[in-house]
Amino acid sequence: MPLFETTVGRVEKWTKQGDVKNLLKALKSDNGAVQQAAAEGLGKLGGNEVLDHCRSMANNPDQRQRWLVSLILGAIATPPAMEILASVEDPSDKMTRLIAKKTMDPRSKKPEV
Amino acid sequence: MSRMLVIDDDPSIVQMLRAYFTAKGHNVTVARGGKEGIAKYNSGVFDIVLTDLMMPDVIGFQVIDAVKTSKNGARTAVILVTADKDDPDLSSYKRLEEQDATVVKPFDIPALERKVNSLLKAYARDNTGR
Repeated sequence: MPLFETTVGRVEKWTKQGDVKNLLKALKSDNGAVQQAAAEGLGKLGGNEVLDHCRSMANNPDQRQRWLVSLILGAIATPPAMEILASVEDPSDKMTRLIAKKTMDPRSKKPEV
Repeated sequence: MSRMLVIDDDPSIVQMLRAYFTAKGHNVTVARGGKEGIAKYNSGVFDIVLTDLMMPDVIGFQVIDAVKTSKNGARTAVILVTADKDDPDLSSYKRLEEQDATVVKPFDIPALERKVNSLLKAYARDNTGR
């Protein structure tokens, strides 16, 4: 057991202190309530560091992490946040759609010989 | 764009859906529970309703009933949002066919948006008789 276990109370304290780094770590907690509180805190704080993290996690294979990122971005609610939110998606879904789009695009066809 | 009603008792989900779909040009009204949702639906005109299934006051199926039996019900698309796709109530519910789509939490917003857009297109086609 870690010396200082992350609790919802501790996460709320980090939010008050504007401690983005510890809140980002708390998103990876095994405790769903801690994760949720961290997402709410990060949503309140916003800022470039939070947006950068959300951007880097937008296509993470872990659905739960993508969901937390969506909640953060929804709380920030600025145009850049909405732009990132529009890209938060299952990487396999995104790949499937890209392939489908390319197949339908006539420019992607090889010329007939 | 569409007139959308979002009904969920979780404020963070309501906030996310309102922010995103408003940014996409939809006219979004929100309700923080089933009773409030039904009241808002009855006092306005909506093209699409997104409702949570499990809410403390009124469950999503009751919202769907209220929408689909209303004057404009046939012209309103309904998406049911649930946290448990294996919920026995979901599979046994006799009016299951009355919702147009089901979305399981946690979901990706772009996937939900595609569902919303395809339903709106289908309803627009039906309502214009094409």
